[in-house]
Amino acid sequence: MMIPMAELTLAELGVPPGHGCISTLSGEGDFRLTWDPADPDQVANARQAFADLRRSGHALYKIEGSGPRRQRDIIRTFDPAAGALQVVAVAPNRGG
Amino acid sequence: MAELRLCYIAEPWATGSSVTIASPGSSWLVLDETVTGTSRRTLSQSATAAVTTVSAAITQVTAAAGAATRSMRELNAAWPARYGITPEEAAAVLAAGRREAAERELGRQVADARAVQLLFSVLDADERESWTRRGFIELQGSAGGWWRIRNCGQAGNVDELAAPGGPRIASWCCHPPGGLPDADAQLAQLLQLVTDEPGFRAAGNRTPQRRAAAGVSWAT
Repeated sequence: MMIPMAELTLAELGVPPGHGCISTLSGEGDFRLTWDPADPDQVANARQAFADLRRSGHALYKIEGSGPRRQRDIIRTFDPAAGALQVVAVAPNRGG
Repeated sequence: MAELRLCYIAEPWATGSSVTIASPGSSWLVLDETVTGTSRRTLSQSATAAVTTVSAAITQVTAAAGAATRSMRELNAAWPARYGITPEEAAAVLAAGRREAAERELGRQVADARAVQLLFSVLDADERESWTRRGFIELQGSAGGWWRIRNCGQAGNVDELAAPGGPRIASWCCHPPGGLPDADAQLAQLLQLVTDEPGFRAAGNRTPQRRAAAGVSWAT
């Protein structure tokens, strides 16, 4: 498999520049909800989606940073108006 | 009487055991003839004698063997009428099934590609290189343990290491439900290990490596 020369960014995931993205993992590939921090409706939608995912038991992770090391942290509060953010929502892991 | 050529006799045999003989049409006839000798030749003679006495059964076996060798095409042609549908209707059902299977396969491939794209967006350059070329990612968990997530499915693909790059001391099976693409499941494993290693240990199933306990290093 070819590794991209440039580091993958949200833009290469199809997210418009300056937008945030919540990726919810599913069997058909992840569902990506994007929002513009400057748009109140989209911000409200993202906030509601975050709350719904938390309520359903999903674990939510924030991905930050670039270059040699990415930061991956679990998050429990969310402010979509703060700026572009990459969030990954995952159903809890179970032993198989 | 249909000719029956003895081509196989079940071994080992002992005095008092039954004999199983295969006909050329792969039909089996089990005889209750008692074995009177221990040599193959003696056994053949005994079996032949037994066959002679059951000629009607052999005729049926041979006929059944002949029937079983009908071509699959003939069997397929006979099947629809047996269930009250026409061959054209049967062909349409089969064609629709093949189309659905092809669509499912395409959807799976699209999901797999999307999952790899998301995983790469979370990994740094070294991790992407390792995942692609070496087939695994090594990382340190939130509690200090060292782990290797192998790019080979999502069940039992997480190794607990004794040290970075070191031997595997256990394998873990812990992944999200829902039939996710493998790359998505590996992403979920990575995210939980780097943020909540104790939670991963509590949820997962551990299989210790016995060889490690015996002092044999485990190859990566």
